[in-house]
Amino acid sequence: MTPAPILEVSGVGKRFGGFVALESIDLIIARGERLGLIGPNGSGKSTLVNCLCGTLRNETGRILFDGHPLDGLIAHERTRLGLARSFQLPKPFHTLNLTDNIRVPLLYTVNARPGHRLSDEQVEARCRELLHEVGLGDKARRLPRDLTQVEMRKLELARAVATEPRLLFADEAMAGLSPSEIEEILAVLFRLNEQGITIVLIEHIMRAVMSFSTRLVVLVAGQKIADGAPQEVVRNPEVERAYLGE
Amino acid sequence: MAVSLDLLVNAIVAGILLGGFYAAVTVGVTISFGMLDIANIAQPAFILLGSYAAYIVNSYLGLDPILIGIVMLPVFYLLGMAVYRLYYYSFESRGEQAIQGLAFFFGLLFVGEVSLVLIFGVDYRFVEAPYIGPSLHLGLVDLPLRMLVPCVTSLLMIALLQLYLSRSFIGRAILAVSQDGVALQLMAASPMRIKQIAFGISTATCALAGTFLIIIQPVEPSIGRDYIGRIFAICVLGGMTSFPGMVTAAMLIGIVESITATFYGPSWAPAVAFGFLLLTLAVRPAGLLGR
Amino acid sequence: MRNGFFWIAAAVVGTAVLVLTRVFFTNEYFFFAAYVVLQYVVLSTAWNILGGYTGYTNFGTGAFFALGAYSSVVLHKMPTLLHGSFDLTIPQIPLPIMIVVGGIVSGTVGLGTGYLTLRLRGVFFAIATLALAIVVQTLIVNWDYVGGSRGIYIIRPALAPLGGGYIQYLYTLMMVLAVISVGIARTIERSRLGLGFAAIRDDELAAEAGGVPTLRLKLIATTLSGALMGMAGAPLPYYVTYLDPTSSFNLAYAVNSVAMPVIGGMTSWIGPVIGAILLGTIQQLATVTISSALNLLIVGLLLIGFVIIAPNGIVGLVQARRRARGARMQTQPQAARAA
Repeated sequence: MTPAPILEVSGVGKRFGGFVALESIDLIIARGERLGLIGPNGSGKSTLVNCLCGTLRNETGRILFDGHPLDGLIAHERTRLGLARSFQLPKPFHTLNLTDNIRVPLLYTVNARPGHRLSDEQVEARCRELLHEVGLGDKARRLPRDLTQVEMRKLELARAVATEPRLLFADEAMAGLSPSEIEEILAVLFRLNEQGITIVLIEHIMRAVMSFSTRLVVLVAGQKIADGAPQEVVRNPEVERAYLGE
Repeated sequence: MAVSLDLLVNAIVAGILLGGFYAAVTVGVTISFGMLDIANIAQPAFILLGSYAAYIVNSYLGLDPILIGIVMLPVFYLLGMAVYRLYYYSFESRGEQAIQGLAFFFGLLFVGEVSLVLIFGVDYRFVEAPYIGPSLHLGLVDLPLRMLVPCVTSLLMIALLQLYLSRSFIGRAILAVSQDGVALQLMAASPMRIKQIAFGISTATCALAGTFLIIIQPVEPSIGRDYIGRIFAICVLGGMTSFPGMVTAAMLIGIVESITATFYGPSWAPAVAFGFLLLTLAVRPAGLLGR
Repeated sequence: MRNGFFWIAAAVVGTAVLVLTRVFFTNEYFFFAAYVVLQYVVLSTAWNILGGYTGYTNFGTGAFFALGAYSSVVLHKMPTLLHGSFDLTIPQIPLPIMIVVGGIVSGTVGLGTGYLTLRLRGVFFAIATLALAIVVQTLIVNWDYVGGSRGIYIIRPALAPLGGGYIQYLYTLMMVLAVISVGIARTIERSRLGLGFAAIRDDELAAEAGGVPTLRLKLIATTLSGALMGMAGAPLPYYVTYLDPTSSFNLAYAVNSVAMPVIGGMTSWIGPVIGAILLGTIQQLATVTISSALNLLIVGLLLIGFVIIAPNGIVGLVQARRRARGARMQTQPQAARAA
């Protein structure tokens, strides 16, 4: 028997005034998957992520996270349940150093869940560990404004990982990066997936998406038009028509 | 309570006239806050500046206050552009926290009021004009000219502004920048220049609004504070960017304030607008006519 | 410095200043002036918890402050009211209890305002606080029991607890409040709560996504800030002996409680203290020489000036100089090696 999916999205819809951003999206994400979510600009990818993470409220549809209904839960509650996201444009806490940037989500998720709380020393150690994992260990006391683009992206991911998620949405974590930098980020994501985190990669960079994803979902104008193995989806004529990738 | 029809009708009519004036007071903020996302809480200071300017010229040269207001339009326009430049170079371009911008305008509001106290004292000032005093009588209804003239002029001003914003190139650029500054940049128009013009227009409206104010009632420096709640309540209730929405909201608040003043006493008027503001923010941030 | 040590150090400093000034200063005027400066320490620190730490601007300090003052008036008149209407005799309510009540009243109003407006952008909260000041003033002006627009006379008790004059007693109470508020501010700074506040200030969306319950924390900040302001206002009736809406809602409180943290520096507990002591003392000295309106004009101009030129305040300027010196020392040896 296949294990229960980690996320079940049924009929999720979102409007902004007269504009339909999402139209009845159905999606099942299996545990441990590497899902790629692609689509042209304005297709609703970020809106979908925002609705799933609780930043926006969807008007219709239900979302079940590990069997737990998410209706009515706001963003920080969903994060505490184990659903994390990184932002398209990095949003660091600019007056806090890198360690504190990691400490905030750590204190407010891991230490806020029922069960054992980490002591101050353990928190400090875990922050250093997380920074080290993304290669930012030696910049622990620096401020975000001293970081390069790719380092900021890594910080974003590290912050999301600090919450000990079971499902992570990586929202365009690679936009504007050089090929070798893209490889760095991909390596981080692969490693996280090996540790057991289900990852949804929202991306435009087809090479990255194709090498990373075990399944591909395509959104166009707020509708899901394809869902399946990457090689097949890419050959789908509708997908070719609507979205000519890199 | 036995409600006299006469009183009620006159309260409503007075409220409508008041609403027309309130629209003039608010249109500047609809542009600066609704369209440009600049929380210009110093708006009442500019309005009072307009009132006192009208007072000075009117008492020394005897010119008609509304004429003075029109003549002052370019002066206030330049003032607004200068204030925006200062704001832009100090805050917007530095990406500072919102707090510094708010503190800046609060400082302006405060310095404005205190400067007026230092220069003019706390005595009430008023202007003289042929239409301050007489009223039109239409059956049940009294239409004081000192309220009718500003109301009509105000609606005219707002209609002209609406026309300008929707027809002229600069006007449409302003509407564009309020929706997407980046797109505007790609069209090779500078958002900063457009916003400067828009803020200038927003301040220019205060020249006339200030004149209307001193026609309707005598002014002294601290009455500006009563207008903060009203201005932002009307702006939010009106849907932030919509002129028709703003006028509707202004009329609504004007009528409720007028009825409250007639039947419960005038000292409760400032609380009405605030009540509206809280209610709108709590229930329908998109305003009456939606965004 | 560990937090416990800070509280002890602050208490020691406060007590030392208290004892020394009460013993050596015989001129009553000192205590009148010092009361006002200490009051501003509390107001600025309270404002900064919501403003500097959490990033939400409150322009209605006057409302929270006056609510504290007027709740004391209500309590002051309570024994007379109960005796007259219900034939109940209760003793005069002691000032420390009035302070606590003032804190509860203002804290609740802060909570209410926050609940209604904090789910929206910070700008709406700021505007709501501006309007709140007007509304609370309107309510007080229309409430005859506390004097309405005519104002009310409050008689200072003849005997002050702990001996000495009544004004020295007020000064002592305000010193205690100042130490408490500074202690609270610093404790918050070093705690998980403070980190949460800073995250909200820096990027509220990211904080929320990171698990920070932003609405709850903002409400805590608003309530705490309002409560401290109310506590600062509670002794005011006994200080001025004649309380009226125009003076108690004086714009001076609103502008000073913003200017002092901005000029002192909003990121640390010490900024509001520096700003309050500096500006407060200057204003107290200046009121004897220049008009109060000119006084306030200067404060307003300083606020605008600092916000444009030195947005991080005096503390920010000091930190910047230290960083620049540190960077210079790092580059100089390299330059020497390159030569």
